[in-house]
Amino acid sequence: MEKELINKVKNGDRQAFKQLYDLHFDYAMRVATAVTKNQNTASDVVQETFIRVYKNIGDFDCDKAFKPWFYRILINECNRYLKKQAKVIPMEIDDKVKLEPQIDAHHFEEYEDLYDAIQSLDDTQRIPIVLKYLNDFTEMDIALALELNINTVKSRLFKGKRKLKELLLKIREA
Amino acid sequence: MKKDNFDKKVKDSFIEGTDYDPKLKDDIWNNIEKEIENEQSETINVPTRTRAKGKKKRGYRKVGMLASMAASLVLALTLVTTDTGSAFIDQVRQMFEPEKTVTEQIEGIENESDVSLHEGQAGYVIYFDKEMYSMIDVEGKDRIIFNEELPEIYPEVYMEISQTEESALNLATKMYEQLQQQYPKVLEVDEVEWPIESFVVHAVGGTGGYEWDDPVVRYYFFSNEQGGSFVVKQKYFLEAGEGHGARFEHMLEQFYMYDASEN
Repeated sequence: MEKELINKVKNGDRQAFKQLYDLHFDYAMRVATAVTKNQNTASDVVQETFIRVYKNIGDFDCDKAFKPWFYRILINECNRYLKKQAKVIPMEIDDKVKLEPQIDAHHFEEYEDLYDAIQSLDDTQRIPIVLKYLNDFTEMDIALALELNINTVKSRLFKGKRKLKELLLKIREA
Repeated sequence: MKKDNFDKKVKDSFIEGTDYDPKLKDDIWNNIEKEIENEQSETINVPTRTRAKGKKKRGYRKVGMLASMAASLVLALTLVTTDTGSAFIDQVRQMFEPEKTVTEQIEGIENESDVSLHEGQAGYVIYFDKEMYSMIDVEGKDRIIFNEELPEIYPEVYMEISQTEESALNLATKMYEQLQQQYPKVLEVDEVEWPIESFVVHAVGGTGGYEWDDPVVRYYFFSNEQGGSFVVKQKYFLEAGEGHGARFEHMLEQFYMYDASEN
């Protein structure tokens, strides 16, 4: 069904493009938010990603899976924005999406801690984890989206998960 | 924590941590529609900007022209330079932006990449993304290598640049004959304008193009404007053609020579 939709988009069908947008917006927005850690940036990234998809859909090979292609554009856009921001002197107002540290030692907010722990991982481990868990990507999909070989992806997921468990253990012990 | 339980908790934490205002969906869609409509109306007014492919071809030529203009300008500079070699190098640096954003076609997608200026030891400068690649010295040649270490199952990936005293066409012909002894598939010497005006020889090893890990070697030979030639060797594997292979081509598009003998 998606293939049919993509063929219609290739032929300039704006309605089909809207359907494709509806199908992928939610996870695109969540992945961009998780990767950039900033909802304003994520909005810009998602907008730019769909514009790029529309412009480049002619080059997409319909015999291949759409999701890795789409997320490769999205992750590239995230990286581009992050690089740009790294060159900008940060302002005092920080609009980063982070869960407020209202962690009461007696009321352990597990999801918040888990999310914060994930966000504290290195990008090399964090981004494959975002794609795997948020988006149910297979290791092969992650490899295609991030232009990595599958063994590297496996190793990064393994190390990321191990580190995550260690971090959670520390939080609990504290 | 059991595996399934842990996985579910990670997923749930993502869902919770990345929540957003549902209004955003319509707002972003409206912006996308506006942007597409603006682009399309521009296209109607300026037909030459309609198709990315046409634009790409002109772009390459323009860059090629700019490259030769810049090279000539630098060469001209050397004639009036009486300062020391380092002062000359400073002038070369001043001629080129230390960092810039370029548009590259990687795996069928136009990407914008931030690239930085790198100075080779063989009388040239080149731009590449230092977060992905580094330049090292291998037996007197500049080798641009991938920053990430690939497992052993992957054939080598690099681009090597050197300079010799022989002419480009002679070298290309000799290399073609040499590669025929070593590789099952060798394409005849071709003359190309992009990524740089040169003679090119391309060969595929292993099964000759049927396996993902067949090694690929591509040589570019072009004049160094002093009677000799630059030799650029690209090495990667079949599956990496649209990734590393394409990136090497874009690096070469951003290659600018200068007269190192004036240093």
